[in-house]
Amino acid sequence: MDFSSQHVLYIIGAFILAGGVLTILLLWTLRADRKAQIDLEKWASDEAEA
Amino acid sequence: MVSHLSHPKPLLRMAEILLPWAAATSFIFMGAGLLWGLILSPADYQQGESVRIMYVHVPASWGALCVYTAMAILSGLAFVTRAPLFHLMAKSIAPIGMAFAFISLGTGAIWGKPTWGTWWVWDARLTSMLLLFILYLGYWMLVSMFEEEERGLSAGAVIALVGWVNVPIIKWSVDWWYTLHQPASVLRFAKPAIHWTMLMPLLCMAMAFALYGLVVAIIRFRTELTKRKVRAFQIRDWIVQQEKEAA
Repeated sequence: MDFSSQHVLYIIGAFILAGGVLTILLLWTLRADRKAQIDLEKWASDEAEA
Repeated sequence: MVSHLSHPKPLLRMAEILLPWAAATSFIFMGAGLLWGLILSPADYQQGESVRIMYVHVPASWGALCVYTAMAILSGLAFVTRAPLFHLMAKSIAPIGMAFAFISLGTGAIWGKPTWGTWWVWDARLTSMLLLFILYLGYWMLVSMFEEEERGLSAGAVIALVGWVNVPIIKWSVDWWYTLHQPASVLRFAKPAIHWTMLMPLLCMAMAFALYGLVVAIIRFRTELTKRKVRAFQIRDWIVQQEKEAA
């Protein structure tokens, strides 16, 4: 790639946008999964105590 | 096959075996695609370096169309078989398609500026893609807004099925109408009109996006099943409590 090209900023912008959206979606997904697992563990431990 | 897919346990077990492999392969394809697309592939003789935006724009656009088609198929299966699992699968993949559609629109606007001299034009391809993003938003709002989840999922499934009409319109909009957007270079009946030095990194990135989508879909599906399990516990406890109070 020719880094002196005036288009480099557009290319970097596009790749940062794509990477940012994919990262946010992955983090949101992992967070929701973790929360659901914690809720399930809580119910399972309450059940065991009862 | 369909009845096998409607049972969550074996399906989830299979998916979880697949998960680390899909994640690792996606990572490898993403690395290779970025290196190939950003450094090794040649610039375009007309568009110059800005053609490299294609390596994220095109896989995201393909992904958005494929995910919506999968949502429509799953929604149809949910209505035909009355198995709620298909609704959950459709709900699990919707945010992936929405993210892909957003990336397609965003990177398309960034690519449009140096190529066409404008961020946006209301032509058939761009407008139908924006409509796809709005359909994803509508689906997500419907499945999230109802207190009774099943009603939301059914309403969302109707949007997924009816909205699928837009998918062939997006695909062939560049042939049916005069648009600024270039016609298809890869997915067409004739031989691809793109040189292999650009086609290979493009396919590499498309694989990376597809595998990334698979990884997120598996995790989101697992989350939906876990939430259902927790809700079943809550309902059972509530029933037990009501029975105690009645006694």
